[in-house]
Amino acid sequence: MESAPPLRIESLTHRYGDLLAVDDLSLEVGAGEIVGFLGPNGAGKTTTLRVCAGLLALEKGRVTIAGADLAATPLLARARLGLVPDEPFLYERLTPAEFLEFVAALYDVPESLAALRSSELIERFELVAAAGELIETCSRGMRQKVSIAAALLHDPPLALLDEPLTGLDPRAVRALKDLLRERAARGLGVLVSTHLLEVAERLCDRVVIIHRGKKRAAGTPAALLAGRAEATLEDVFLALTGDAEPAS
Amino acid sequence: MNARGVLRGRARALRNALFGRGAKRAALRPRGPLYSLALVAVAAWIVHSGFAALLAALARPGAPPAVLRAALALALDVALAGVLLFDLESAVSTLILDRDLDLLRAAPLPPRSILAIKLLDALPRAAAPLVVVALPALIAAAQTLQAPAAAWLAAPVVLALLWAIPLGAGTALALAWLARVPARRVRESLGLVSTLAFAALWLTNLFVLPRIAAEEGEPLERVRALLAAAAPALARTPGGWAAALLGGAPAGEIARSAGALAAAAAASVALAALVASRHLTGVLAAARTPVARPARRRAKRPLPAGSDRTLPARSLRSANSAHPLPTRPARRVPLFIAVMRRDRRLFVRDWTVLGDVLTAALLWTCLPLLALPLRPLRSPWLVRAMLLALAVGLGYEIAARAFPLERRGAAWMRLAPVRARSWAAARFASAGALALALVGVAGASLGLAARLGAEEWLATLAAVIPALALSVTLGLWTGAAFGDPTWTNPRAVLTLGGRLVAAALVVAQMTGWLVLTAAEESGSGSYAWLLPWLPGLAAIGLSAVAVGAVARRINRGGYAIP
Ligand SMILES: Nc1ncnc2c1ncn2[C@@H]1O[C@H](COP(=O)(O)OP(=O)(O)OP(=O)(O)O)[C@@H](O)[C@H]1O
Ligand SMILES: [Mg+2]
Repeated sequence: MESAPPLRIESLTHRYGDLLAVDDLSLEVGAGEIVGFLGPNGAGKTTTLRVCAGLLALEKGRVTIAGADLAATPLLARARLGLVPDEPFLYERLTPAEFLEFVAALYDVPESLAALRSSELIERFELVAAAGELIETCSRGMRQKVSIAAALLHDPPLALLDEPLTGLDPRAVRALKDLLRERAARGLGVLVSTHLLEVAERLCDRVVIIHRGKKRAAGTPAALLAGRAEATLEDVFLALTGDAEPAS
Repeated sequence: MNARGVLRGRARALRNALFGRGAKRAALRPRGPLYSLALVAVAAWIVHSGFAALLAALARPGAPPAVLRAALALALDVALAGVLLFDLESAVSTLILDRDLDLLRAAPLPPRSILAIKLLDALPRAAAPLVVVALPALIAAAQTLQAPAAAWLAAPVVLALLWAIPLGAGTALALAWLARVPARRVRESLGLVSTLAFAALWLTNLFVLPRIAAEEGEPLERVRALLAAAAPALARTPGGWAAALLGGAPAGEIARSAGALAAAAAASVALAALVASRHLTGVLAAARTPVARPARRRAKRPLPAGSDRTLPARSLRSANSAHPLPTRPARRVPLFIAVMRRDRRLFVRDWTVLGDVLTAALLWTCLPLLALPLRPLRSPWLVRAMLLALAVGLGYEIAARAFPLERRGAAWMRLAPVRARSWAAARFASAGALALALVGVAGASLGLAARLGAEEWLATLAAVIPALALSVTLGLWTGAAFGDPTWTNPRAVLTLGGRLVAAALVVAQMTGWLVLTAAEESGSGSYAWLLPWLPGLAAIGLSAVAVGAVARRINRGGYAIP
């Protein structure tokens, strides 16, 4: 069990009606590893992350989170992951502090520990002034910070982040990167979807590129560049995902 | 404004909502609106049959056409009152709170155009009384009165004019009022409108209906006499004008009525346009001002002293935990407490959501104290029946809003490592506690006014509490199954179909409990000993089924995350 990777996806397939959104996708995130999840708009990144987090039904394939099978032991699996959704799931009429307190109770984090962690995260993301105001009055970036804090509050072995940089200012981006690296150094596995290729190149140990639900490439940024004509990750991305739209 | 383009866009949105579109059509579950339409059709059909039967009964002994026209006028006026009481509020919310308003506000449109677009949007939402009451009544009357073809052709125009009168005048009034309240109270004021409408309905229910039912004499004769007496007054209302047009009145009256109807509708709409051009921009800006609140003291809680780093890890996931555990035995917040705490905060800060419920409970508490001493209430059965009605109505109103109140936050029900059954139970506890408190206060006042004895108290409680439990669980289920997480109008947190289903459930429960109460009152025979236990048993069984259904809904992610 100790050696189980934070995330293992085996031949995951997901359909919306007739539309094949994720097609036989397999990938693994090891302990302490930060994996970038790249792909053009509509590639299936959000769908994959939502299935792994239990928000969408797991129809075909297998997902294991730190050894817990998502289909067989959904509660255990959910307890072992934190999700930063593409649009935050917040209560408009709670303050960030109250919201974090509620989320901590959902994940069974003891009260005093939760207070400690949430005040640490609040300070880290410079939310101290906003912590007592209603989320309703928070800016987009502040909401995003609250959402990230909520996902990491129970200190899960796996973090799934869906475009977590949306709305963040440069200082907050740096704070998030530092936080992820710090936690990864202690064993956190991270799967982060992003469109910012420079960020992916510098932050991630590995990247996975998907296109129309299928995995197109995976490896370290350096390995993806090796032996190819393209000079940057951006060029590789564009070459791998550039084929024309299928007629539909 | 490019009116054709706007109209085309709206028509497309409607079509896509009804029938879906594109390759992912199947995934979007476009059947919901179709079910709603089917339910509306059934309701309209029921009204049509009932009204046709009434007209036929009235016409058989040869009542003059004026009486039949008066009946039609009354039905149309009732529909108009329905528009004013219930739909004005949803039309004004559509006009002020709809999500596309930011887009419209940013576009170079004059307020008049925004008003026109949004009233068009409000049409399907604010036309239910017309479709369910006015239209079937018109059709039944036309059949009974053998209306000429011209009347059939004019009917849609007449209906549109009828609809414009309350909506135009009401919107003008509402906007003028909203322009005068402080910005941060606009949303609340809007809630107040619905609260008053709701209170009016409860009042009628409570006082008028029992009186009418208790009048002496042959019912049909009384109805005919009442209609004949009211005919001259009714002829001077919008419903009367429309009835004259469609019910074959003498030519002179037709001309006069047509003029009056058209003039009233035009004046209404012109008034709305005038007020909108003055105030709409300001009201829209005000409605978007968030309810600012002073910073809370609790935000900076003191950190637990001496975070000891020596304690062994508690759980498997603390093995590589980033944080030390405190030395004292860690206190966890049970889910129930966390949910109740959250609900209390959300509710106190958004009281309009349940404002109408509170008003109803307040009325139920005060009215017996004021009114009963005047007319002594002898029967404990009547007390019980009234409390049963309150329990069913209140339990549903509170519980049905539990899930929709969470909006996007409902995603945590799928995300957090908490069993769906625990969620359902926690919601039950939270909604049930509030409902129980309100019913308890109202029941105490009613019971004191009626001077119930100890035994009667017990018997009443034994009937009312199961009814409350069942209505809360069924309310939770309707909220989970039909909740609209993007609601703007606190009286419409369920989809239209959901509201119809909920209404059917409430009626069924009330009927069931009243039948049981009546059976117990006249109880004799071999199974009479069972009757006092039946409510409890039935409620436990049905509630368990409903809670199971709620849990399944949560598990399936039935509550859509937008
Ligand atoms: N609720 C839904 N119903 C139907 N189809 C959907 C739904 N959500 C997503 N899709 C479709 O599934 C496919 C994958 O979408 P997904 O949101 O996973 O893409 P993504 O990689 O996250 O894109 P983006 O970079 O734009 O966020 C797209 O074709 C999208 O249109
Ligand atoms: Mg996405």
